[in-house]
Amino acid sequence: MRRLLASLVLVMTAPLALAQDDGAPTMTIGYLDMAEDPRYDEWGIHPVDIRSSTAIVDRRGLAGAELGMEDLSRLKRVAKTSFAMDHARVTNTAGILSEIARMREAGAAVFVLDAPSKVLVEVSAALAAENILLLNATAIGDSLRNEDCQTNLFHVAASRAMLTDALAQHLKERNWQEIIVLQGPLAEDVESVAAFTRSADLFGLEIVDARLFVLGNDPRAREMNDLDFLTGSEDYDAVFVADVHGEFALSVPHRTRKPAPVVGASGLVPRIWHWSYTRHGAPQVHGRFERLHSRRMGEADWGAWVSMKAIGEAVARTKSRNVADIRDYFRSEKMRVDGSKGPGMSFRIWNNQLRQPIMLATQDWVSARAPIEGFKHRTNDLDTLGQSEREMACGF
Amino acid sequence: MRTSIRLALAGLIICLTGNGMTFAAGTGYIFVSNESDDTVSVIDGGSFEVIKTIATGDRPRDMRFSPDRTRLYVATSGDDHIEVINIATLEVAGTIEAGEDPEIFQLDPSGKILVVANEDDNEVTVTDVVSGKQLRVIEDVGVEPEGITFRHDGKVVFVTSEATNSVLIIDPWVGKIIDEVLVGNRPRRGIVTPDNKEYWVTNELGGTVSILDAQTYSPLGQVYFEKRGMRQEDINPVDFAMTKDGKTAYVTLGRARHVAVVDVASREVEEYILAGDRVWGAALNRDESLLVVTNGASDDVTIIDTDDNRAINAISVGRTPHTVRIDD
Repeated sequence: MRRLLASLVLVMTAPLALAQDDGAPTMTIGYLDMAEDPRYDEWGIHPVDIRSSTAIVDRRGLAGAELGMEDLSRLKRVAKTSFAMDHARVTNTAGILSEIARMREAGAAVFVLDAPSKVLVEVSAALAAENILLLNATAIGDSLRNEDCQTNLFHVAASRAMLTDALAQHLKERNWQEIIVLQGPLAEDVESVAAFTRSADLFGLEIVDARLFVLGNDPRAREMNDLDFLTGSEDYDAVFVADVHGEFALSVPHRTRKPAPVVGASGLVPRIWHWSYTRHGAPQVHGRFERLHSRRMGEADWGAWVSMKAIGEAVARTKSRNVADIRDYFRSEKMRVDGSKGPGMSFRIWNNQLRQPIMLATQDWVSARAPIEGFKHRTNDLDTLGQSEREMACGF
Repeated sequence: MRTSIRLALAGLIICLTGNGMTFAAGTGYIFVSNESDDTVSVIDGGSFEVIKTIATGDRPRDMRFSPDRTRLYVATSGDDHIEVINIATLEVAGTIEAGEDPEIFQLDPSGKILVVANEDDNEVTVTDVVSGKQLRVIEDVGVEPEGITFRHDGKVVFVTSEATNSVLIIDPWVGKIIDEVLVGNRPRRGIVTPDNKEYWVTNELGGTVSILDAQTYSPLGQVYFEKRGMRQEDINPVDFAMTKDGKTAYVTLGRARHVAVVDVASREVEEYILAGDRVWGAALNRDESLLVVTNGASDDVTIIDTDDNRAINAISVGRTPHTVRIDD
């Protein structure tokens, strides 16, 4: 009953419930997401979204942010701060900018964003000179960590390079070295193949064939829509599918011409979080989330939850709500945030990317967690995932 | 190699039985809770053979003896209670209330009440040991409460909050939160020095031990762990054992596969003992000649000879061994 009440209160009056005044000053965190975000589109002609095992549900990270606020409410005694969230759902980049301006008027200076990479590039460029903090909860685009990086933008979401590095480590460790690549028609599929190509090169895999696919049944395009043709190459150990849309990718496992594991957009998928993970306190997090939202906790939820936790940690440790102090803490040696997937996590100072383990998950099980045993880095094994300081093109 | 261990072991057993003190007081049994198998393994302390595997409720984790050592309490988290094992019969003889998802618990020194962390509900439950009934629930104890440690005077209990990175000081007799102190990341278990002056707590992700004044709760210092070839992120301190003279603490280091031997006065590590993967729970036998640790990721326990700080045996138990207690 208490649980039910707690979740009701959260649903109805999220900012108010968590900002009750009993002495501690309130810090309001802005949270922005988008009404039309293609990553959360309902999908297909089916009565239910077939990518979901239950029904159409909102997969935006807001649910994770609400769990984060619930956790932050318990930090009040040691952080000497009450945390509140101001959420706005907007339609475009201009909407994010105007909402951030409105929230700043009201005193907010730290913002968590659940928006696609392209939008985030525009938003962070427009706010580059501002004395605020932006936390990217969900965008994986590599350019955000390279040429489009900003000193006031921190990435809790993993980069695409980190995700493909995790896959490449697993393929290498399993000795599945010869890979065919199936690439979809969207711009993000091109980026995904570029990231995987870099990872394959880095970890010594060989891409033996790379093919473009389209979703369809047209017999005249069978070299591009028929798996017998697409996977008919001479020899390969595994198939990497780049398919941000996702429907084609679902049809690939168990349909390849040769018996081979499928990785990437289906089969074994690199993720920042999966509900089946059972170690490092993850079951407790899944439990708290599911009781609050009656669905599985996804990657966007994890990104938003950890964003909130990182802010709370910085405030508790620095005893300050000041933007500069939080940023300095994020970029310091002392920074650690616990995401319930193993080691304490910190930001890479060369591009403000959170270093973190990556899960390699099937639909219902985490098969491996990268960094894979044996892949060692000079200072921190988590830095075997993603671009190194030497590789990256971020200039701060 | 195996022969030499056996010989060493045989020598040890002869030596132990020779002076006649080690297992005189109790059964000599080593109890190990197997979190993933829903069992408790009973190991004979003389032969180091598993003599019985007791079926328990779901997800057995922390265990404690009754003050008279006739009963062993086992928190069966999945079944939302604590089970009582009769040590004479090695069977589950009853249950007591402990709130939802009980994990770590402790009895107060007088044996009247039992205080347990309810990890999922972010609560602490206080139970009357004799009646087995719940007395009170303390809410708002941070996120994922875990370690429960009584000060030896029984007046306050230290509760770690894993996801809030803090230690709460609670008066369990009235259910009042007295104080809360920020420590390192993911604090797990605690121990109070025998002189009642210091409270030590492991920080699993911080890779350190924080020390608080057990009376004023102010931070006194930290223990750091460092060893060539041991990765900082693999150093995950979890559990303790401490000698009765308060001079030596043994700290299990998780993924680093070692147990640190710490000089309590100087807070310096004297030695690292190799154990198994994800070494976790720890207990000393009565004369402190043996330290037994559970290895969560290799499904076994390591027996360590504390004279030369060397592992002398490893015994397979069930899946994911959590806690070890020795009745000797």
